[in-house]
Amino acid sequence: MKKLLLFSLVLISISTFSQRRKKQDWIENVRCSIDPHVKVMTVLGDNFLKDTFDYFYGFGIGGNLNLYKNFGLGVEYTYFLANVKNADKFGYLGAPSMNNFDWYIFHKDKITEDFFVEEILGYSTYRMKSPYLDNPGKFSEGNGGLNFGAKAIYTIDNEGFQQVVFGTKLNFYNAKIGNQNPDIADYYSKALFLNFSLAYRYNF
Amino acid sequence: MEGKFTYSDGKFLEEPIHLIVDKKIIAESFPKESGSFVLAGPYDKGSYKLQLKDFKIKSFSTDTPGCKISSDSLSIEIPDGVTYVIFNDITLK
Repeated sequence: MKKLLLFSLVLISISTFSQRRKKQDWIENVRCSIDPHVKVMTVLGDNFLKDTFDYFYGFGIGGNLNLYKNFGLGVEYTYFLANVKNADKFGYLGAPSMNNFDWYIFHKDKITEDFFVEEILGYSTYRMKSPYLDNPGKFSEGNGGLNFGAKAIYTIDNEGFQQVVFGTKLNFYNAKIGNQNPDIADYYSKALFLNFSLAYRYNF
Repeated sequence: MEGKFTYSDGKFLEEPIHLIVDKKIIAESFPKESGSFVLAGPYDKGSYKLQLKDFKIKSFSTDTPGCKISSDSLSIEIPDGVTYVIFNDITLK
């Protein structure tokens, strides 16, 4: 009887210990960071966004949650502005603003003690608004598309709280602009953005 | 919208041409020297028109049914739901 009691005690303590151990591992991997950023974005391909606008310049803030091992989730919000360089194909509209969210999963690779690379894959949403020149209100359009890219991250303090992040990303843009001519519908609905970002990251 | 004007007075090129829905301008452009033009704008629904400022339209040709010259001859009216139309030859008075 005594033996059995001892055995079960050992068993219980082992199991609780292993559980605690596991929990600690889980928490050890969870890391948060926020990074305010600036971005510049250009349009690739044959589409009205490329023909109509200059560079898009934006600023915003992002958040990252490292969840398990080197994997995590992140989101970036960016507010973009662009100048119209050729209004002919845009309609009687003023310079647009764009609200953009990039949602993504990332994987982080440690290259050296203070240099990391992150690979990113996710989905973007866009809302582009332009004022009507002839009447009040705004014309808005937008939808979403896949995004993927990479970030290079340098640690700039001894404790590893502060980092500088340089990123580049490709964002697919798919809107739903219809036209009886399918080539024109495509021309107004599909685009590819290439963007570069510079961010200050704070880890906690 | 794409098309081509046949004009005689060079002043025609100095005036903007418009697409108008419900009295609102949705697109503005200037015809090229050849008379060709492209107009594109945000369009949802309703009939609309290709509007000229001072020059009157004598005739036009298109494959799109339902288009007609307005009573003041300053515009071509286009029926609801047409999102792509070509006017091969718009001749001015």
